[in-house]
Amino acid sequence: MKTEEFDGLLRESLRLMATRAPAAGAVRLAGGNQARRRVLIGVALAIVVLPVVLWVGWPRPVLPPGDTGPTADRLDTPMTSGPTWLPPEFTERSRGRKFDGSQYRTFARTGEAPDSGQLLTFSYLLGDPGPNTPPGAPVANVEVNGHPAWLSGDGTDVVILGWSADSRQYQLDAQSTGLAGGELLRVAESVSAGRSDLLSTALVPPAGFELRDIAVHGTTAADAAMSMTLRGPFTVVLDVVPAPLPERYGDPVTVRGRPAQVFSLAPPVFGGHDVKLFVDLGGDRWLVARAQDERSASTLGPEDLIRVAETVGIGDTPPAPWMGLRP
Amino acid sequence: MDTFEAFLAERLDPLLRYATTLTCDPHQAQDIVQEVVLRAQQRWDRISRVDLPAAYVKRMVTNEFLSWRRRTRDLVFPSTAIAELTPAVADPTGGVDDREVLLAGIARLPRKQRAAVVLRYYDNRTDAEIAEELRCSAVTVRSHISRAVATLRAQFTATCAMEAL
Repeated sequence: MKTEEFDGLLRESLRLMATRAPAAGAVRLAGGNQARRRVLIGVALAIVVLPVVLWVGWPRPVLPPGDTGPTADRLDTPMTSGPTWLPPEFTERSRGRKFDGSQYRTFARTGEAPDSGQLLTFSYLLGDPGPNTPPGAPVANVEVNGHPAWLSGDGTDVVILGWSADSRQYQLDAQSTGLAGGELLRVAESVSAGRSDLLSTALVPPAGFELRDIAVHGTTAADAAMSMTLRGPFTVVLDVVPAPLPERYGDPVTVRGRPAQVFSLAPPVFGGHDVKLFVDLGGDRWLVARAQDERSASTLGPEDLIRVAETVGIGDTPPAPWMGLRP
Repeated sequence: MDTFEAFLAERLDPLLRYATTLTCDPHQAQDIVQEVVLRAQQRWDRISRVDLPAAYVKRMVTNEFLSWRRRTRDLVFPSTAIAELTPAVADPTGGVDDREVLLAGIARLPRKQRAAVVLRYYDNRTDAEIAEELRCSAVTVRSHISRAVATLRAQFTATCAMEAL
């Protein structure tokens, strides 16, 4: 296909995608009364609070860390495999475990914005996972420390290296990293199966939900967040993040005895339901929960997600001293 | 533009279409536009005084799409997990639309490449305009687009070859 034809197809494809946009009626505004009330409350608070602040100083945070809602003990999952060499400037950004028992670690260049998409992901599966096959036709058959391996990719942006050794399947997935196959091979050859690293979390799924993915992620140890994905009557993704979030305008609710806001989004294009919930856990931690049910006959509502958030076990975020460092 | 409501009446649909092409996901597009609209409403007094309020709000959508919080979501949703969580839907036509093949590839592009492609091929922006929107150099924009198109072409060609078998 000629370049002009391909460009034309690209334009057509994007125009087709645009026709799937949700209807404007699905987007809500903060009501005028609500906005006016917010201003009036702000003025009233300023009149009452300002003299007090000037007299006794700024008040302590209203929401200190508390133990409302079910808690969870720290859970340490051993991560026995990992690279011992990384290309210059790469540091560790996340560790996780998936529903199939596989574990993964991601790495990015120091200073690389988390939104750059330039990630190196190392994943492995223990036990006897069967043959390790490439997602498409391999571009090269290579060896990693004497074990047969394959290199796969689209020739430009994504390179994947897979191999099996010591009853484990290994995979290195480099996305937009600019790393060549040779560098991936060097990372692969440094992989040690005898490491004593940990994935430490403090989240417990509520009854009726199956854990699909649990992870710790961030840029440095100071901004480590815990996440888990659950599947039950609907899919739920939960994040416990360390930073306060921007002000939102959802419906105010109380969850785990804490102030919270809930959004109910109902995309009219594909049907289904999508609910989002933000809970101020105190101590500069927020629970961000999202429930999705793509069935057009879904009855998912805010109360369903609130029930999950009320019953999920949440403990203190364990330290992640490895985050932002080289192995 | 006098009121925020008047602004939205004119601009909400294009914003939703733009966000949908960026995300390749109407759910996420609605989520992004919802957040941007609420923030813009709060700051409308200031936004309405800039030269091009529509461009300003559109950039808010781009930034929200590229924001780190959404990127961390990707971290806990590796592509294989997404595939696992999304039930496969049979193609009722029994065939594959070239545009759908391309859209699947676009959805897998890294975010900055995807944004650059959408701004070029959907929004018809110049390199300089895209660079300003993405806060990078025009050289980086060209690199993003070149790599993205090469990736899409390779995937498209491979899929067509498979279809031909």
